[in-house]
Amino acid sequence: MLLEVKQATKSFRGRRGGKPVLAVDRADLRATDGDFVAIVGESGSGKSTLARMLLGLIPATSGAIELDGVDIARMHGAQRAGYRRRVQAVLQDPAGSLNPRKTVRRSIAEIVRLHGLARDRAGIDEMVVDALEMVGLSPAEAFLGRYPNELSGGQRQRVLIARAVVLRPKIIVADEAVSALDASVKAGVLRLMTDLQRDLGLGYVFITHDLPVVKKVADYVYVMQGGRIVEHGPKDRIFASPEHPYTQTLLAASPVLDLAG
Amino acid sequence: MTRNDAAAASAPLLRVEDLAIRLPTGRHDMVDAVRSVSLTVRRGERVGIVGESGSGKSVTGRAIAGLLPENPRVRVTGSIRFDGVEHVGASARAWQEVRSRKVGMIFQDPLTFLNPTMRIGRQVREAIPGARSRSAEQEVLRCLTLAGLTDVEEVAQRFPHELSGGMRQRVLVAIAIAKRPELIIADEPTTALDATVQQRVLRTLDQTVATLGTSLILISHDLAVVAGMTDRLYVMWGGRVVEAGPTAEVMAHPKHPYTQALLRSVLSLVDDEVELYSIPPAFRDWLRVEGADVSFVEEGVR
Repeated sequence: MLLEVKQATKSFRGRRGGKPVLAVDRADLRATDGDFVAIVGESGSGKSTLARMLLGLIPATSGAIELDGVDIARMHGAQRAGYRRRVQAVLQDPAGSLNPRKTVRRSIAEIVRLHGLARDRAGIDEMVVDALEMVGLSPAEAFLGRYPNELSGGQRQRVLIARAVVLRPKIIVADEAVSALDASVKAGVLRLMTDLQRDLGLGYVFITHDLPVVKKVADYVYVMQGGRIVEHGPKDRIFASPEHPYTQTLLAASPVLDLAG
Repeated sequence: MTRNDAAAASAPLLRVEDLAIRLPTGRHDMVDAVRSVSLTVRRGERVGIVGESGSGKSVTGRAIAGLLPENPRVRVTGSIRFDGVEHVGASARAWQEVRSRKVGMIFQDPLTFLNPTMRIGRQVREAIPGARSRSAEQEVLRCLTLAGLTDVEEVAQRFPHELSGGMRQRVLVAIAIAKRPELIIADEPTTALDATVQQRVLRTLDQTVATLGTSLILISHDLAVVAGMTDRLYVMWGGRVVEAGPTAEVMAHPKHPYTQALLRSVLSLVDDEVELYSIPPAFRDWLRVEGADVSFVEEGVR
C-alpha cells in the first residue's frame, strides 16, 4: 500500500485580511506499509498540518494526497471507509484523545462497532482483548474497566495504539506520539511500535522534533522547515551526511548525553 | 551579599532535611507526594533534580519556593532552612520574603505564568524590589538583556502572545533574576521548546547564573539537560532521593539500581548499540516495596 503526498500545499487565510499563511508548500512524500518514515521539524515547520492532511482531516489547497493512486479528496462510500480504516492516527496527547468518561473497553469497542468489524458483543470483546494484548496491556481483563485517569501516560498511549491497531491498519500517522513521555516509557512505546512494524507489517509516518528518536527507529527521513520539505533520504544518509544547512543545524542542536564525566 | 552574619555565611544557602509533603487529591484522599527528601544547595552551586513524572521533584521545588497550594490540608513536615533559618511552619510573611526576594522560579509553561493582558516590561518591573524608583525602567531593560533578549525596548512593549516560545521563556528568566534572588529554581524550563531553542535558553540560563553568582536548582526529567548544567545531582523516585552525588560521578558510576535503569533507558534512546529499554513493571514493584528505601547519598551531602 502506498500513501503519497503529491505537490500538496495548504494555505490558511491570514488574520484580519492579512496575507495568507502557507503552512505546507508543495510537499512530496511517500509512505508504505512496513516502512518507518519520519518527518522532523521544529514548531511552525508545517509538520503537524501535513499530518492532518495525510489523515484527511483538512483538505489540501492544491496538490493531492493519494492512497494507491486514488485522491482521498475524491473518495466516497466504501472506498473512503477503507482509507479511514487503513490509515490510522495516534496523536500527542493521550489524555486529550481519550474520552475521560469512557472505559478502555468502550473506547476501543465503539471503533470496532463503527467499522462493522464484529456484530455481537462476544466478537467485539474478543477484538478488544486481542488489541490490548497486542500493545502489551496484559492481562487485558485488568484494563478493560479502567478509565483514562486510572492509567499512566504510557498506558494511555498504548490504549490509543490499541484503538488504532484493532482496525488492522497499514499505516499509522503518529504526531509527536512519544514526545511528552519519560525516557523509560518513551523507550517502551517505541519498542512496541517497532515490534508491531515487524510483526504486523505496519508502516508509520512519525512526526516529531525529537531527532535522537528518529535516528533510533526510522528507516526514511523527511526534514521540514517553513512548510517545505528541505531534505529527505534514508536515515543513515541523513544522519551521516546531512546536505541542507537546516538539517545540519538540527543535528548540531540535538542533546548529547555525556557519560564520560 | 549584604548579610554579614558569620553564622549565616557558614550555613549553606539552603538545607532541606527529611522533607515530607502530603497533598489533597480529592475531598477525602491525600497523596504522599514527597516522602523523604534531604538536599543542600551552597552559594553559587548548581544542583540538579532528576526523576520521572510522579517522583515528587516538582512538588519539592514548589515547596522550597513557597509555592505549594494554599490549602489547610497540605501537610509539610521536616525542615527547609534558608541561611540556617527554619521555614517549615514559618509565618506567611517569612514565606512572602522567600517568594519576593530569595527564590526566583522558572516554569515549563510561560503562558500560564505570564499575565496575558500586561506588557512584558511591566511584568518584569513588578518583580524588581522598589519597583517605583526611577531607575527601575533601566533595570527592566538590563534584566531582559541579561536574559539573552535583543531589541529589549521593543520587547518590553509587547504582550506575551506576541512573543515566540523561546522569547517567553527568556522573559521568565528576566523576571526570575529581576528580584535578584539568591536561588533560581528552574522546573523543566526548556521541555516544551524545540531543540535549537532549548540549547539557546539553557546557555542563557547558564551564563546568567554564572554572571550573577546565583545558586540554581534545575529540575527535569531529561538527564541530558541536567547533566550538562549542574555540579551535583539528586535522583528522585517515589517521593524520595534514591541517589545523590557529583553529577559526573552519578552519571559515570550510578549506584542505585533505579539510577542504573533510568540511565540505561535514556541511553537506549540515543545509542544505536543499546536495545530500546523500558524499566520493567516488576522492577517498579520492587522499588515500591523496598528499593526506594535504599539510598545512595554521598557522605557529607546530607
